[in-house]
Amino acid sequence: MSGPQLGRFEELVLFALVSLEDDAYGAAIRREIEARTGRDVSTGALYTVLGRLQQRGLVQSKVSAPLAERGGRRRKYYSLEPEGAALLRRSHDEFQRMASGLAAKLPPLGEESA
Amino acid sequence: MNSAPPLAGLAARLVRRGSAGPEAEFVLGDLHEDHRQVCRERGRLLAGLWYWRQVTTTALSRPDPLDIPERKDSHMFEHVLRDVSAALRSIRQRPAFSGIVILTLGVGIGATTAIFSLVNAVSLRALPYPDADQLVLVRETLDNDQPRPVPTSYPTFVDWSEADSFADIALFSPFNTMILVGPEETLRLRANLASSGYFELIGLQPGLGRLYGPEADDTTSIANATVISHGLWERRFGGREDVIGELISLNGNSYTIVGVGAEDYVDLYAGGAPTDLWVPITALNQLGSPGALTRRVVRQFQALARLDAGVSVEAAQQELDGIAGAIQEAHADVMATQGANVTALRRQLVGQATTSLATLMVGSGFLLLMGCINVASLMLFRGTSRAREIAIRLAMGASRRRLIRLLVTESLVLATGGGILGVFLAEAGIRALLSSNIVPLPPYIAVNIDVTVLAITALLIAASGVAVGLLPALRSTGRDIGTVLTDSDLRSAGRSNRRPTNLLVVAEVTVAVVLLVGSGLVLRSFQYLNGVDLGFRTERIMSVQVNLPRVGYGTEESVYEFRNRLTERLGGSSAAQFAATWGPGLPGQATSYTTAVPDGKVVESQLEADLSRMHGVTPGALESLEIPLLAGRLLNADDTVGSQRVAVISENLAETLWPGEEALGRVFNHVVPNDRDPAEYPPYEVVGVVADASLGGRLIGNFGVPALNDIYVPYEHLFLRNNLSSFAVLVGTGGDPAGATDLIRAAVREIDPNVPIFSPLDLVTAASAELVLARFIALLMSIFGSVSLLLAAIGIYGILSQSVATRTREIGVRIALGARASTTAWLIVGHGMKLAAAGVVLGLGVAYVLAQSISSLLFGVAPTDPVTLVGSALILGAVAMLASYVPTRRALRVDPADSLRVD
Repeated sequence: MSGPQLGRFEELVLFALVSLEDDAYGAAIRREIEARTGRDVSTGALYTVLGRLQQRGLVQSKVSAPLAERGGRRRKYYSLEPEGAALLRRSHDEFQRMASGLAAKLPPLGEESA
Repeated sequence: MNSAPPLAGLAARLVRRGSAGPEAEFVLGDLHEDHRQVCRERGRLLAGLWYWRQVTTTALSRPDPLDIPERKDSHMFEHVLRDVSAALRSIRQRPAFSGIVILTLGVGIGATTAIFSLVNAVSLRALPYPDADQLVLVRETLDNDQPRPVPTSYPTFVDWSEADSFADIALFSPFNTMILVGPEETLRLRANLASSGYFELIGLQPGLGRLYGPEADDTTSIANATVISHGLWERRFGGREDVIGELISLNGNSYTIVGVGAEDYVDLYAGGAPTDLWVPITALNQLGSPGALTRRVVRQFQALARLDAGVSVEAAQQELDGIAGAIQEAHADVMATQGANVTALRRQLVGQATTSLATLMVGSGFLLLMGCINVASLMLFRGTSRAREIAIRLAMGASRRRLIRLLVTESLVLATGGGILGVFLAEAGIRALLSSNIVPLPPYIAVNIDVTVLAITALLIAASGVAVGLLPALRSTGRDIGTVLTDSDLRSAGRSNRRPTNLLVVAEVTVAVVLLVGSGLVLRSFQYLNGVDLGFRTERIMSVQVNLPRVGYGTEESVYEFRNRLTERLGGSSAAQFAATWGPGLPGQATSYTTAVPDGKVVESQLEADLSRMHGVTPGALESLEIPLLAGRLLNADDTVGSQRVAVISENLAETLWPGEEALGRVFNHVVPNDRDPAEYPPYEVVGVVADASLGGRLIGNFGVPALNDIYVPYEHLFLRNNLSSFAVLVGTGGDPAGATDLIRAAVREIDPNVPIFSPLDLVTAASAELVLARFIALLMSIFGSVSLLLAAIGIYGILSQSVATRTREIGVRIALGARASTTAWLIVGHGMKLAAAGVVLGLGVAYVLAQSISSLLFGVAPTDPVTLVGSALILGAVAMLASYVPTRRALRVDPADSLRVD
C-alpha cells in the first residue's frame, strides 16, 4: 500500500507515547521500551527518531520547567498528533491481521536464543 | 548523595557534537535522570559505565538497529567518528594482531614517556626558588689544571660581593651538624649556616615569627638567633606557637628561636636529609676552629648569588676571574693559585644527571623506533593480505584518499591504545623507580606525568601512528586493481615489491645494533666497576657514626676514655667478631686530609704535593678489615698516648714519598698552612706499609678522581681536635650486620645516654652507594638492550618469513628445475644475511658516533670496545641467520608441485 510508512523503531516509540500518555519524555520513553521489549535503547538514537517524527508532523512536543533531578535541565514531553495516531493504528492493524493465528505455528523461542 | 555522572562536562560536549546535538539539553537531562536511577539499581560503577556507553553511542550518532538508515550530509567530526568506529571494528576482528601492535607501541611509548618525565622534572620544570634561573653558585677553584670548584672562605666572599654582576649575594654552608641537647633526648640536627641575605635569595618565608636580619651578619660578634624548620618545629616542639623566643641549647651554646620556616619549604641541597635549622654564620665563632671567619684558607662556605638583570653566567665568570686575580696577587703568601667558578644553580643541582638522562632518552627513543619498524612491517604484510579487500573497495568507487584515511585512522587508533598502555607502564615504572630509591633525586624535584609529558606522549602517539600506518596504506592502495584481482603475484613477489621490506630489515638491524652496542658498553663498564677490588673487607661489617658533644667531652682524655670503653664493651660481646673505632669518616673515605712530605724535603706550597687521607684507628682495626700488610708492622696497643708518633701508610703513598726506596723507619712531615702553628702538625715515623684500600676505589681514574694516599695512625695521635670526637664505630658480625646497630646503640647508651648515634650503614652498602647511578643506567640500558634484541628477532623473523613466503613459488620452480636444496636455501638466507650485514655496518657507524657522547658514563671500557662492537654484530648476525633460515627451511619442505599450485 502507498502512503507514509513507519519503521519498526518508530513504531516502538509511538507505542511508548500511547502507553505513557502525559508522561512521555525521553527517559520515560526509553525505560518504557526497555521494560516492555527488553531492548537496550540509546538515548541519542531515540531523539534522532523523535526529531524525525516531529518533522513529519506525527508527534508534537512541549517543554517543562528546569528540574533539579535533571541537573537543572528541562524535559521535552511528546504526544501523538492525530496523523501519528492514525498511522500507528494502521500499522498496528496491518500487523495484527497478518499475524493473527500464526503465532501458534512458529517454533517457540529458546530461553536465550534471541 | 552526589549523583553527578562522571565527567559530565566532557559528556555534554560530546553529545552536543553528535547528530542529536540540537536536542542536547533533553538528551543530557534524560541521561542525568537515568544515571541516578541506574545508580540506585546497580551501583555507581555500573551506572558510570552505562552512562558513558549512552554518551558514546549518542556522540557517534549510531542509529538504533531497527531504525531505517538515513543518508545525509555529515560533518568532518562525524567522518572522523565514523572512521574511528570502523577502525575499532576492524581492530576487534583481529585481536591477536592488534594486541601485538598495542603492546609493542606501548612498551616503546611507555619507556620514552617515563624517561621524558624524568627529563621534564629534572631539567625543564622550574626550580622552586624565585627567579631560579638567575641564581648562581660561586665557589673557588684551587688548581688551574683541574678547576673542580671547592667552597670558599669568608674574606674571599667579602671581595666577591663587590662584583657588579650580582644583584645579591649570600653565604651558606648547608652540611653542618649541631647537637640539640634536651631534657628527654639529644638530637643530631642538620644546620645550614647562612647569612641573612640567603633567605631572600631562596625565598624562605617565616611561617611563624621572623627571620634573622643583617644584624646577624656582624662577624665580630655572635648572633645567637636561629630559624627552625617546620618539620623540626612539629617533631620536637609539638607545633607550639609560643616557641618563638624560646632558648635552646645547640652544641652547648644557647640560641633563641626567632622564627619557624614555612611548611612546604625545601632548602637547597636538602637531598636525603632536610635542613632542620638555619643559624647565622657567626656561629662559627663558637663552633669552628678559631679564624673560621677571618682566614682565607678556611673554606667552609658556598656563595649563592642572583645575577643582575641582563648579566650572563659567562660575564659574571669574567668579572670574578679579574677579582680572583687581584685576590691572589694580594695574598700570594697564603695561596698558591686561586680562581673563582660561577655555575648556574640548575646546572649544579641537576648537571650530573643530564648525560645519563640524555642517554636513556636516546635509548628509549630507539626502542620506540624499533617498535614502529616492527609494527610498520606487520602492517605492510597485513596490507598485502588485505589487498583484495582494498582493491574491491576501490573498484566499488571508494576514493583512495578515503581508504588511506581509514587505514591511517586504524593505525592511529592502535597507537592511541599503545599510548594509553604506555602511560600506565610509565606511571608504574616511575613509581617503582622512585620507591626503590635507585635514583636519588632532591625532594623538590617531583617526577610525575604532567601536561607537558602527556603532550609529548600525544605527539609520540601521533607520530608513531602515522609512521606505522602511512607507508603500508600508500602501498596497499596504490596497487593496480587488475593485477591484484587477476594475478596471484602475491605469492611470487618480484624484486620491486621486496624493496620496502628490504629497507625495513636494514633499518631494524641498524637500530638494534645501536641499542645493543649502547647497552653493551654500559653493562661492560658496570661489570668493570663491580669487579674492582676495594682492598679491604666490606662484608658483614656495620658502621655507625658518633659525634661526641663538646659538653662532657671537652678534654682529649674524656674522648679517649669513651672510645676505649666502647671498643672494649663491644669487643667483649659474643655477637661481635671485632669492634673498632675509626675516623673521621669511613674506611677508605676519610674526611680529614693532610699533605705529607718526606722529612728533610722543603715544599713551597701545599699544592705541590698530593693530599693524603688521615685515618685515626684503634689497634686491630687494620687486621679486622683485612688490609694486607706488605712490610713492617701494623698498629698495636702500645702505640698510644705519649708513645712515639707512628704511622702505617699505603703502598701508593710510600711510592709517592720515597720512590723506589725503603719507606720503613722513614719520617714524614706535613705542609703546614701559613697561618697555622707548626706544633699542631707533628712528624710521624713509618712503621708499616699496607696495600691500597679505598671505598671510592672504583671511581679512581674516572671522573678525574685521583688515586688517594692513606695514612693510618693510632687515633690518639691524630691532630686537630675535631677529628678526635667524630668517628665511626665498626662492628664485624658473623651474619647479617644490621643487628649490630642495636648492639652499638645499647653499648653507647650504657656509657652515656646523651651521646647520639646516627647513619648506621653496612660497608657493602656504603661501597655500592657510589654505583647507584651507574647501576640504574645499567639496569635500564640492559632492559632496553634485551627488549630491542627481542623486537629485532621477532621483527626480522616476521619480515623475512613473509618475504620468503612470497617467494615460495620461485623456490618451487627452482627445485623443480633441479636446483639443489642447499643452494636454494643459501640463496634465500644469503639475501637475508646481506640485508643484516648492511644493517650491522650502518648500526656500528651510528653507534660509534653516539658512543663518543656517552664516554663520561663509561668506566674501564672505551667507546670503541671491540668486544662490545664485535659481540653486538655477531649476536645480530646470528639472530638474522636464524630468522631467515627457519622460514626458508619451511619453504623448502613444501612439495614443488604444491608450491606451484599456491594461489
